[in-house]
Amino acid sequence: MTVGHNRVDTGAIRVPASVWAFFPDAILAVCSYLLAYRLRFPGLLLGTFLPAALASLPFVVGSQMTALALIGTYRRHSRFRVITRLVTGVTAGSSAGAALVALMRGFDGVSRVAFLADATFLVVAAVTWRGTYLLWHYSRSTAPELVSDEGLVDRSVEMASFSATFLSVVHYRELLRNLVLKDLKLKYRGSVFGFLWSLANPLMMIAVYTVAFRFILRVRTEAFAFFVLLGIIAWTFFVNSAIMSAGAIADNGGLVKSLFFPRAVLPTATVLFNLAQYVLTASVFLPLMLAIYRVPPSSPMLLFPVFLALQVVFTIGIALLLSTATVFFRDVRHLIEIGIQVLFWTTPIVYDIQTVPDRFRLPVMLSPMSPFIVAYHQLFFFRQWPDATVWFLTTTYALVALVAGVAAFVTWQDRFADEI
Amino acid sequence: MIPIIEAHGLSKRFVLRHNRSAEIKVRFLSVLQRRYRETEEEFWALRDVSLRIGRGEAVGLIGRNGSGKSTFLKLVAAIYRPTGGRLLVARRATIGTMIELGVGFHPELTGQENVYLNAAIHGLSRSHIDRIYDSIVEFSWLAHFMDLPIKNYSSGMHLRLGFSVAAKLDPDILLLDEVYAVGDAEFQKRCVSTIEDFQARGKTVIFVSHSMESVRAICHRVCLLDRGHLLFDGPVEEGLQAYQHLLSETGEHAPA
Repeated sequence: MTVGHNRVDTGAIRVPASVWAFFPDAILAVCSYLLAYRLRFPGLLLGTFLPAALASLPFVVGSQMTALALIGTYRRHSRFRVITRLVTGVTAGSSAGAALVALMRGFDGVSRVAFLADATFLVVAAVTWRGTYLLWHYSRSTAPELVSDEGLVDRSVEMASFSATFLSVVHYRELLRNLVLKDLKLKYRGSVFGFLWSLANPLMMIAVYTVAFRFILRVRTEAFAFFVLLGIIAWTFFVNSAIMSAGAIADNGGLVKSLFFPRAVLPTATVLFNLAQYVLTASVFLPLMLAIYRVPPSSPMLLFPVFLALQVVFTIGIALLLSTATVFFRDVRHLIEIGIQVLFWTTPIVYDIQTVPDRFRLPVMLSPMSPFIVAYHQLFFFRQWPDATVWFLTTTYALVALVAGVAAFVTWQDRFADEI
Repeated sequence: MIPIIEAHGLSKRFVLRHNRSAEIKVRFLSVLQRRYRETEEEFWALRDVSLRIGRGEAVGLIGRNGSGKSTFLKLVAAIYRPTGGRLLVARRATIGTMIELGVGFHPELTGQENVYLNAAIHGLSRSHIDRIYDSIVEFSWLAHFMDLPIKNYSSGMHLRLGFSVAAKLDPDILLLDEVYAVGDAEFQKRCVSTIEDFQARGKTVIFVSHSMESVRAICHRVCLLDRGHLLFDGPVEEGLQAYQHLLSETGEHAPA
């Protein structure tokens, strides 16, 4: 019997960390550099774009992959450090690559924003394929069965990790589904108009803002109601998730104190519940508005699921943070209430980011929900491909929020049952 | 004996904060006035408990109120994290808990919806729940009421539904905390036979009770806890005698 060991080998599926992982990374490095380059110089024709990109590509991808290999990404080791190594490796590699290109060719025609975007894309892509691999294998592996197995483990240690939190939420997807369905059913059960209430709220807000801005303040935006709708429904999704998730743990004391299940399921479920409502509302209003304003369908609209997914990831991260914080500080709810009031006006929902004076444009763009709302405006209202800033900010915000949220949650979740 | 649960010097401490207030106003006052002052008190619900429980054992946990019985169950279920020591459980063993009555049930949902929700909380997949649903309903004798919201259920019906789900989940380790004492005689009899059947199939039961009778009926081994310490661990009759002795020492009367 060994009692002292701290790290329990879970014998679980691991992220691939061998030479084989090198090739997907290399391919993704090429792709993300091309994508970043393309997004930075959207005007260039393919004939001039390709040679320019390809000239600097070998240096950048070469130094990225060298840095990744040097830092030990392809050696076998535990799961989390992979993320740290990916971030460090890509940062070092991209900086080295940028320096190389600058030394050899000068910074003419090479953009720093493109390097930044490239590094972000590569990290996101590398983490994503590893994560997907893990989730795919995990969802195929059978649930713990009643097989006798001599090994005794300390479950509280086993649960308290980054990946265990992710995986357990996947494992408990049936619980997620049930919680979301429960909330949806209870919300409309017994009310005469049922789901129609969910449409009434955005409708009223659109009406009020349209009257106020179009007719009183005389803002000259065509199809103003359509413009406001895009922002309002996405904003409502975020705000409702933030408010509900604050109580996800603190208001479920009975469950948390007397049943075992992965706690992260609770805040995640509140986000998915609001997502379900958002999707329902959007699927009613979007086609309606497109029809009323005779907006022809265009290819950028196909990117909607991508930005929606990014917003969901971002919101889940925030939800995990808020639910953790509320357990220890009840003031968080009041802070959220005030914060929402401020954020609503610093987010380009009822105004267009392009009409913001130059010196305020960047701060407004950096407001947490802004890049997502701007993305929806660009996709549906302006029918253009989102620009590099939007791509960069949405992916960064989503990743940072998720990592911070999961880290906070994992660190403090074993004190939840004691505190509430 | 093949161990399924092992506790090594297991301790759990709670911090009780008297006069607790996070308010800044109170913080100021507390400097000036004694009665506003926050005092912290440590409360050791369990202190240095070591024991091994084998596969197929039925262990009764007895002791006075506040002796740490429920805390022990919650540590086994991984609801709490130990303050000190270690608690090891067989890696793949599934754990079923009935620690509090009706937790995980939502009053507005129907019986059927609650069965699905409750089973999902225990980590079951959809197809698995579909498979055992009928047997749960049959076992609970509530087939006629499954489409009613359970706010209309009596506490006995509540209990029957909860116990049926817990029993049909068929966990390797079943943790029972007194809940079934609410049921009528008929139901209690069925509980005992279910638990016996459980054990016959090599499952482990940990049972918290104040009722000597049910401990005798179910358990083969008794652990007596007092103020967080493990006083006795052994055969049922000796354990119950030790408990009687403890109660008479402190002038309390043992329940029948």
